[in-house]
Amino acid sequence: MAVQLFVLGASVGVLGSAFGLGGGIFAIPALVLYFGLPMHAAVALSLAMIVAASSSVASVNVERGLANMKLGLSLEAFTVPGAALGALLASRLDGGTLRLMFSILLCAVSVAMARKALRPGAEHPAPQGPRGPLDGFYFDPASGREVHYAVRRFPLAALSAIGAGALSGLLGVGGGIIKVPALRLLCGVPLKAAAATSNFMLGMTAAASAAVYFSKGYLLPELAAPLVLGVLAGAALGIKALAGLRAEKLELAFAGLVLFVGVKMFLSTGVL
Amino acid sequence: MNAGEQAERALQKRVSVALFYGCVLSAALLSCGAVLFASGSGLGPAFSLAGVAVLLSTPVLRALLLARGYWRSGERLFAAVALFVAVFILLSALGKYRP
Repeated sequence: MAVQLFVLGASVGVLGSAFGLGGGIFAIPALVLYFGLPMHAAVALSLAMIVAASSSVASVNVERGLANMKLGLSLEAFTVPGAALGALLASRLDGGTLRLMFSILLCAVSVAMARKALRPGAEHPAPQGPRGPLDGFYFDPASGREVHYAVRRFPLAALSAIGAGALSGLLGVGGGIIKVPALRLLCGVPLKAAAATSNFMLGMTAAASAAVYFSKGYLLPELAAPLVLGVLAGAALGIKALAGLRAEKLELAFAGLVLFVGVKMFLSTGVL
Repeated sequence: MNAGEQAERALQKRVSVALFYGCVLSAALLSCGAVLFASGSGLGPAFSLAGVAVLLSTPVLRALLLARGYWRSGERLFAAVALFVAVFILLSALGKYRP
């Protein structure tokens, strides 16, 4: 079982590092459906995996300047309280309700990812005039130049950050599926920087929730060890291996995978 | 690159190094825990829990480093935000936060 958990962790690490997501949307269904864990234990383990993925991937993205630390930190001030609130609410809900909510979330994410893959958005142009405190830049090896961007509509992004935090606490996911689109569509941050900034935030969001689960005894250490080690190995591998792959095709494949897992989990709730 | 951008780059480097070594230490403890657990030793869960605790502390460390870095570079607002995030995660860990 330890080997299987390590492989699951490594898979989540590879997949998560490619999209700026923590990988909880893949880990929780696997832990519940394949390993037969209770939902709360699966969520606790997933949160630990998200922290692992975030810390390992962010250590690279921060050094490269891809992650906008000021923007991530500012949004995190809204996300962390939402995460703690969500975690406390989750301990008062039954596993079936959480599973139903998660299956619906998966289907919605699948549609969003498919749309994104089929209609990739254009990068935002460099800002004109004086730069604001949250604006950023990074060197893009693909184009061989520095990309400068301005951060817009911060209040709207802050609202979405609260929702992302609550989602993390309730369902054990990092909230990256909300953060990346919010950063890109609301704030106007280029996709690469949005994914890196989201990843930078994920660890802090998940840590607030994970600490609550940890203190309640839901985090099983004998299962956490192979999972987290797998995530660390997979994330390191994913950063290198997936850098050159085309995001559109990868996202489309993920959309199909997420839809499959979501439908399977929905059917397991016995609603139909 | 102006002085502010240079300070930001230096802070990025420090945070990156801290995260890297946090992950390495956590991985070492978790590896020990996994080996001890497999060998039937009662110390396995303790090492694994320590590894998870180190792992969960890396986001707090990240926020504290940012708070210190922004304070020293005179960006007091961002220092305060970073400190708020760090304190909030710590309060969650101690079970003191009740919305």
